[in-house]
Amino acid sequence: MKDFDTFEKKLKEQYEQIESPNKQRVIQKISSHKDKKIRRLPTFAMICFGLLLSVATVGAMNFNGLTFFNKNASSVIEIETMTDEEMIPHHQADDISMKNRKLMDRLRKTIEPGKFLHFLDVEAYEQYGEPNLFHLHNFDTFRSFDYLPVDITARWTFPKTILEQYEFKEGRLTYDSPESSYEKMMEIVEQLKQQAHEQNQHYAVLEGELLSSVHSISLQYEYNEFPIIKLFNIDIQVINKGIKTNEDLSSFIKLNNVLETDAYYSEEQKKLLFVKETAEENYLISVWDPWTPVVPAENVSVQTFIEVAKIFHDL
Amino acid sequence: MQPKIMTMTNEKFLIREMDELIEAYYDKIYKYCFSLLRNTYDAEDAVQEVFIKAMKYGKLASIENPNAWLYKVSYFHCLNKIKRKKLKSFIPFIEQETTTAVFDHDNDDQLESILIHLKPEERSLLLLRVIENYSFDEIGQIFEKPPATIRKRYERLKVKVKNLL
Repeated sequence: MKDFDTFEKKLKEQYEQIESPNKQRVIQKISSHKDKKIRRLPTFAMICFGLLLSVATVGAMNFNGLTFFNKNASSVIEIETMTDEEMIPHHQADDISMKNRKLMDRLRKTIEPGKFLHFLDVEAYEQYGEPNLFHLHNFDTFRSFDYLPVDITARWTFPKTILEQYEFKEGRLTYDSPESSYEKMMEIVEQLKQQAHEQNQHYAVLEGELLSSVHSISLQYEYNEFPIIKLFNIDIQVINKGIKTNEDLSSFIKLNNVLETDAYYSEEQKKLLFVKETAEENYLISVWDPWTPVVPAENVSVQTFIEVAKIFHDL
Repeated sequence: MQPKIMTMTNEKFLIREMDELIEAYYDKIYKYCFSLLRNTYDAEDAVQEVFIKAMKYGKLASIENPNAWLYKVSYFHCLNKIKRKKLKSFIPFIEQETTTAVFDHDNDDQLESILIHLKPEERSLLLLRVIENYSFDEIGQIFEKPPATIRKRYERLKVKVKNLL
């Protein structure tokens, strides 16, 4: 080699020849690390879900999913149906909720605003071999938008009336729980287990404090002109990347060119889903009719769902 | 019946992103780490650590330029590794780790000799400029130095290499 150009050429040639002799083994090591993380997921999944929502029966799930793209064709949010395997801890959670329903209702009444309760059924822990740590809390309900915290009103100006017929009736807020590591969760589980043994009870609770940040907003609009009652529920949820659900998503069809972002609609479920993208957060917004699937006589057309969705999309 | 929706499954997406990241960048990062560390064992260990760091970072999707981001993490990781090795060499009565100072592959002796005479920082600069064809701005972002400084270092490096030829 006599000059820098030749050196560069040789360097490139040699660089190309470098190979990792144990590549597959190293990749396996990395994979085993991420597998450890995913194996922990069901427990956390249950933690988050069990606390917020009521008991529901879950049927066999088919794999399906929805991907929402924005106008730049970038994927904003993905929704996936849980696999049967992923549903196992949720089935367990259902059983535990059913068993402790009255107790949980009673405990909820003792929770002060801004607080939540960690709840552990020690018997179930011993039975399943996996801790099912629940968060019990109450929804923060409101009947006037004046009640909303400033950070919400700064971002959203909700209408009192939609489609000239539906009046805002009631809303509720859920707040974020503090994020916790797996190790911290297990510390709490062990603490509750010991507490239950000391108190000779099958369960134990520990108080925690909710964050002030709002995780989701649910609004209900009602058209009430006796004997006709029609409702629209609007759920607004902060989703940064994706969610999993126990819902069967196969009945959702894509609605093209109705909003600036993708929208999906299920006639069977009477539900329209779309994404609102902002600089700070991504929101998954559900517009759904809680009555129609139960009372099919009062049918609301997809066009009406789209009109409602447009209102909230443009806020 | 109220549907259950859980919102915490970013990790599922993270794992998918990780698989894509490993697939796309393993070889690149290995070559880079190997060139800095000059040792297969250390290089593979470094690659593993770099990807685990990426996983822990947890915001892969928000990284604008994963290539440069991984180089940056790899660069600082390898430099730390080299520094730790140097520290160890000052501790008496401890068996030192052997560092293979030659490539495990067919190579040109003269090229090898030149590379050995370069500091890890210089080798890194050379690779990013020659192999990756990065601009001084981009290299500056990786090294966390102003582009002008990088340019000067590269000019000095070229002179050093020419003198070694």
